[in-house]
Amino acid sequence: MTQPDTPVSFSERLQRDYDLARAQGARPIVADSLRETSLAKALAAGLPALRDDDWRYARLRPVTAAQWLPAATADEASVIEPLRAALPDALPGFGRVVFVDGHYCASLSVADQSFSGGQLRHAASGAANTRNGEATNALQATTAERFAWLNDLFATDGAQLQVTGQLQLELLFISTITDTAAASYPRLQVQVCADSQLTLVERHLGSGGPTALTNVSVQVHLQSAARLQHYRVQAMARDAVFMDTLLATLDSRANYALTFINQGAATARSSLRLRLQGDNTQLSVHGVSLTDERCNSDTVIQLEHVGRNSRSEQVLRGVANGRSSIGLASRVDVAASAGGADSRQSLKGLIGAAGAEVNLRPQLEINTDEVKASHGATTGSLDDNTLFYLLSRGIDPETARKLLEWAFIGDVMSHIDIAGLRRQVELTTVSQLGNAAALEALL
Amino acid sequence: MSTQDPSLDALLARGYQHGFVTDIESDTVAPGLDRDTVRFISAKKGEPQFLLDWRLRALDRWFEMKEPHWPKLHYTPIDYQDISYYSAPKAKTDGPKSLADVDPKLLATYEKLGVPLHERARLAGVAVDAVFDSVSVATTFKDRLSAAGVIFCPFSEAVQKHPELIERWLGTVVPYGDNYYAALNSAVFTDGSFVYIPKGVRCPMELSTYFRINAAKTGQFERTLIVADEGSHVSYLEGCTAPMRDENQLHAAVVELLALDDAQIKYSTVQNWYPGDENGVGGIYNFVTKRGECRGRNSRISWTQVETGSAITWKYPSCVLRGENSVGEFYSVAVTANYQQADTGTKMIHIGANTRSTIVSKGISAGHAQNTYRGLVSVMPGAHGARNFTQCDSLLLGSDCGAHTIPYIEVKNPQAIVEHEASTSRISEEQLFYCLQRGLSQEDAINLIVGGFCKTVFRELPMEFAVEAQNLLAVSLEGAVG
Amino acid sequence: MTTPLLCIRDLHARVADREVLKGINLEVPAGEVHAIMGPNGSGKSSLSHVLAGKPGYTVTRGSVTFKGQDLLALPPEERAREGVFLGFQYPVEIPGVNNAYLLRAALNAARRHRNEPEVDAFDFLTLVKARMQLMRMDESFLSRGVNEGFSGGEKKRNEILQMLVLEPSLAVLDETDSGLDIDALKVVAAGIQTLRSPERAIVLVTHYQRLLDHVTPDRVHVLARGRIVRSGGPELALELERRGYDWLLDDAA
Repeated sequence: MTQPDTPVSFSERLQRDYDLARAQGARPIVADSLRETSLAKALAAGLPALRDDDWRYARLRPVTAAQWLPAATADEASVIEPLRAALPDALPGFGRVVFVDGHYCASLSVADQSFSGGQLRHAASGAANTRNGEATNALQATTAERFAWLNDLFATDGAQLQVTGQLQLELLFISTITDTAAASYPRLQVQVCADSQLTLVERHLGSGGPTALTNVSVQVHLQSAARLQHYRVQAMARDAVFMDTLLATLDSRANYALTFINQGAATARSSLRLRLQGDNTQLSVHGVSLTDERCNSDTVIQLEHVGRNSRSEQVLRGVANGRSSIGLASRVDVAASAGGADSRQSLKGLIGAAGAEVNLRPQLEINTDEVKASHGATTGSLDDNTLFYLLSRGIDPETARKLLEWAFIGDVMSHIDIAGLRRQVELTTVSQLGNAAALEALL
Repeated sequence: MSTQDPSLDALLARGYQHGFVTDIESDTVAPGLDRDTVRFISAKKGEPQFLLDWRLRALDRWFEMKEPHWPKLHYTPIDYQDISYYSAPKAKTDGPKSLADVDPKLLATYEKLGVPLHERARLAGVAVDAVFDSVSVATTFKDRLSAAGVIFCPFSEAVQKHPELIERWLGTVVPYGDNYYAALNSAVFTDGSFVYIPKGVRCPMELSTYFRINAAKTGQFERTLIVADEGSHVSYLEGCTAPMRDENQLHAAVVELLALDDAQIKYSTVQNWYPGDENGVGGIYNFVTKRGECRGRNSRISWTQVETGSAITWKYPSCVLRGENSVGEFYSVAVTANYQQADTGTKMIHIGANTRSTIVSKGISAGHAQNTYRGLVSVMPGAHGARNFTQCDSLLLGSDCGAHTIPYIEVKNPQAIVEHEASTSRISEEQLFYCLQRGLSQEDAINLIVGGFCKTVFRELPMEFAVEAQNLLAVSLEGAVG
Repeated sequence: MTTPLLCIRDLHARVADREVLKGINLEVPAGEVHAIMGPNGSGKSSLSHVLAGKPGYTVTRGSVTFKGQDLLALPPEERAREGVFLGFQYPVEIPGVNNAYLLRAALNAARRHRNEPEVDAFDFLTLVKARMQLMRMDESFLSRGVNEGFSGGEKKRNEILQMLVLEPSLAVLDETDSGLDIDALKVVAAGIQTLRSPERAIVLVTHYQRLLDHVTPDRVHVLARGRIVRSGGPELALELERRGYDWLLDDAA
C-alpha cells in the first residue's frame, strides 16, 4: 500500500491496482492483450448495481473492502510445512497438485505434472500465457461473471490441465493470506479432449480474514464425447471472502457431472455459466450451500442449451442457520436451435433458524417449443410429521432436527461417488451442522 | 412517435412549441409535461388543493426517476414530452364515422365473439351518440347500490362528492413514487373508478366498468381505487372481452385495492386491447400498476386476469398481506400471439402471521410472441406460518415464440413454506392426433387443449366472463397455429 | 393386584376446535393384547396419536398413566424411551437417513435412558439381521432411506421391524394391517406374536377382524364417536365382523 485508502471509485481503484501490480513486477500468467481486454470490460462494467438481478443476493462490500493486489509466491518452508499437516487425507488413486495463494507448490504436490492420461502445466512449467480460451468454443465472461476479469488482471500462476486419456486428479487451492496485504487468484483451465475422461476434485481451503480475498477462475472445455466428473468443495475459513467463476463449454456428446459443496467463507459468490454447445450433451449439477453465523453464500448459474437433444439436470440445496443468508439462482436458456432439450431444475432451501434467509430464483428462458423443461422450488422448515416420527422413536428433538437437515442435503451428498472424498465432506458437514457426535454414526 | 393526430399537427403549426392551451374551455393540451400541465388538468377537473399538491409531488418524483428497462420487453422508446396529457372528454370526431369505416378484421372478430350489433359500434369507437341506452342501465344499478350504501362512481365524481375518502385512501397502497409509471399516472391521471363498500356490506352485484358508460374512454392514465371496509365483500370486473379500438399508444393505469378486517375483494380483468397486426405494427403499450393490500385480519384479495390484448403488457397485480391470516390470490392467463410481448406476474408480500397466497399462472405463446412470468414471493421475518403455492405453466405453440419464467422466492422466516412449480410444454402430436381421430378439426383441437390448460384460471372468473374468455382465447390464437 | 401397565381415565382431547376423544376409559395390564376397533372417524387414530404425544392434539380432561407415571407430562421422545411404541398408520419417508441409522439411534437413545450401555455396530447388526429374517426383509433394506420408496406393505413391515428391535413395553399399532396382502399380513402377525410376553402389552388399532385371526386379543373394545361403547372378549370382534358397527353406533348416539 502506498498510502492510506481514500475513497476512490471502482474504476480508479482498478486502474490504480492494475498499474501497481505491474510496477511491483508481478508476473502475470495472462497475456497482455487479454488483460487489456479484461481491464477494459471491468472498467466499463464497474461494480454491480444494487438492482442488478445477477447480484441481488450477493454481498459485495467485503469484496470492495478487500485488497486486490496478488499475493507473492508462498514458498518458504515456514509457510509450507504447517500446511502439510493440515491437508486432507490423500484420495486413493488420485494424483494431487497443490497451489498456495494461487501459485504452484511443488513440495506439497504428490503427483508430477505429467500423467499418463494428460498433462498439467503451470507458470514454472511454461503454461502458455493465455486462457485455453482462445479455442473456438470458449465462453467469455459476462457481467454476471465479472470477477473473472479481475482474475485475468491479477493472476500470476495457474493450472492448465489437458486430458487425453483417463485421469483422476485432485487440485488443492490453499489460501494463506490472513491480512489485507494481498489477494489469492487461483486459476484453472481444463480441457478434456475427445473421448477422454477426467475425474477432478477441486478444493478451496485455507485461512482467511475479513478482507482476505480469494478470487477463483475456472474454465472447462469438454470436447466431443469427453467425460468429466467434477467435484468442487469450497471449505474456506469462516471469515474468508471468496469469489468464484466457472465457465464451461460442452461439445457434442460430452458428459459433465458437476457436484459442488459450498460450506465455508463469510462471503462467497459463485458464478457458473455452462454452455451445452454440441448436440446430445449431458450435464448434471448437484450443489449444496451451507451457511451459519452471518455468512452469505450466493450462487448464480446460467445454463445455455444451444445444441440439439441435450439434457440438463440441476439439484440445488441450501441450508441457512444462524443469521446467514443463501442465494441460489439458476437460469436455463433454451435457444431456438436447441430442439429436443430436456431440462430439469430442483431448488430447495431450508431455514434452520429465525434470522436466517433463503432466496431462490429458478428461471426458465424457453425459445423453442420442442422442449421439456420444468422446475420446482421450495423453501420451508422441517416437516412436522417427519419430526414427530423421529421423536416417537426416542430421538431427541435437537438431533432429529440436525438429522433432517442432513437428510435434506442427502440427494446432493449421495452424488459424491468417491468414498474418501464423501467421507471427508460429510465429516465437515456434520461438524458444521453441529451436534457432530449424534450424527457421526451416520457416516 | 410521429404526430399523426391532425389536431396536434394543427396545434404545432400554430406555433405552440411548448406549454399548454391556457384556455380552460379547451379540450386538448399540447404535448409535453411539466408542473403547468398538471395544474391545468387539476384545474380543469376542479380538484381540491390536496389533490393538486399530491399530483405535483408525484410529478417531481417522476422527473427524478428513470424509465425501467428490466422487463423483458422491446419497444420503440416513448417520448413522454410528445404525448398530450389531457384530451378528455374525447372529441367525437376523431373516430371512424360509421361501421363501414372500421377495419373489417375487427368487425369479423366481433362477429365471432358474438358481440351485439349495437355494441360493436361503441367498441369500435364509432362517433355515434347513444348507440344504446347504457345510461339508463347504469342508473338502475346505481339505485340498488346506493340503497346498500355502496359508492361506485367515476373517480372525478368521487373527488367532488367524497373528497374525505379520496384524501384518506388515495396512494396508501400504491404511493405516488412507487414506480415510474405509477408516478406518471399519479401526476396526470384524468379519471377512473372509485368504489367504497361500507362495513359489513356484501355488494349486491358484480361491479363492472362495462356499465360505467359515463366513465368510458377515460384515456390512458386511469386510476381505480377500491376500499372494502371491515367485513365487506365485493367482486369487480374490469374490461371487456371485445377488442377496444383505442388511439392511445401508452396506457399507464393504477389500481389500488384495500381490504380491511375480514373484507374480501375479487378483481377480475379481461384485457383485450388492440395488440397490433400480424406484423407487429401498432398496438397498445400497457404499463399498469395494480396492487392490493390486505390491511386487516382475515382479509382476502383475489386477482384474476385474462390478458390477450395489447402489443406490450407490463403488469404485476400484487398483494401486500399485512393483516394476520390474510389471503392473496393471483390467477392469470396471458396469451401472446404474433409479435405481442407480455411481462406479467405478481408479487405476494407476506408480512403478517399465517398469511397465505396462491399463484396460478398460465402463459401461452404463439407466433413470434414473447411471454414472461415474473413473480416475487417474499416472506418477511414476522410472517410466522406463512404459506405460498405457485404453479406456473407455459405452453408454446410454434418454434419461434418464447416463454420465460422468472420467479423470485425470498424467505426470511423459518416456519414459512413456499412451494413453486413450473413447467413448459407444447401440444403434443399425440394429443392432437387423438382429437383429430375423434373427428375434431385442428383448430378446435387446439382450442380444446388450450382451454384445458387454462381451466384452473377460468374457473376463478365470474360465470359470464368465463365463457367469453374461452371464446376470446380461440379468437386470439386463430391462425397462430398450423 | 398390580396397577395396569396403561391406565386411561376419562380422556378428552381436541384437534383445533374439534373434540375427537370424549371420555376414554381403558386399562391394559401387562401381558395382554387389546384390540381397539371402530368405524372410520371414531377416534382410533386420535387415541394412538395422543398416547404418543403428537403435536396438534390438546388433552382437555382426563389422565393417562403408564407404569404408574403421568404419560401426558412427557415429551414424545421420552415416552418412546420409556417404552411406548407407535406403529404409524402412514409411516413417513425420510430420504437421506438410512434405516440402520435410525434404528440404532433409537435403540441407543432408549438404552441410555435406562442407563444401559449402547450397543456397538457389530452387536446391533447381529440383532437387526435376526429380526429382519423374521420379518422376511432383505438386508439391502438397512442401507436404504427410512421408508424411502417403500410400498405400503414394506412400510408396515418396517414398522414391525422397528418394534421388534426396540422391544417396547407398550406397542400401539395403528391400522398396521391396512394395505397388506395376505402373505404380508401373516408376516406382520408373526412379528407381533413374537413381542407378546408377560411384561409387555400390545394395543391393536384396527378396522377389520382379519388381523385378529392371527393375533388373538385378550380384550376387544369398540370405539365410536370418541368413546368406548362396548368391551368384550375375542368373540366381540367376530360379532362385529358379522353385524358391522351400526348396531353399536345407535347405542352411542
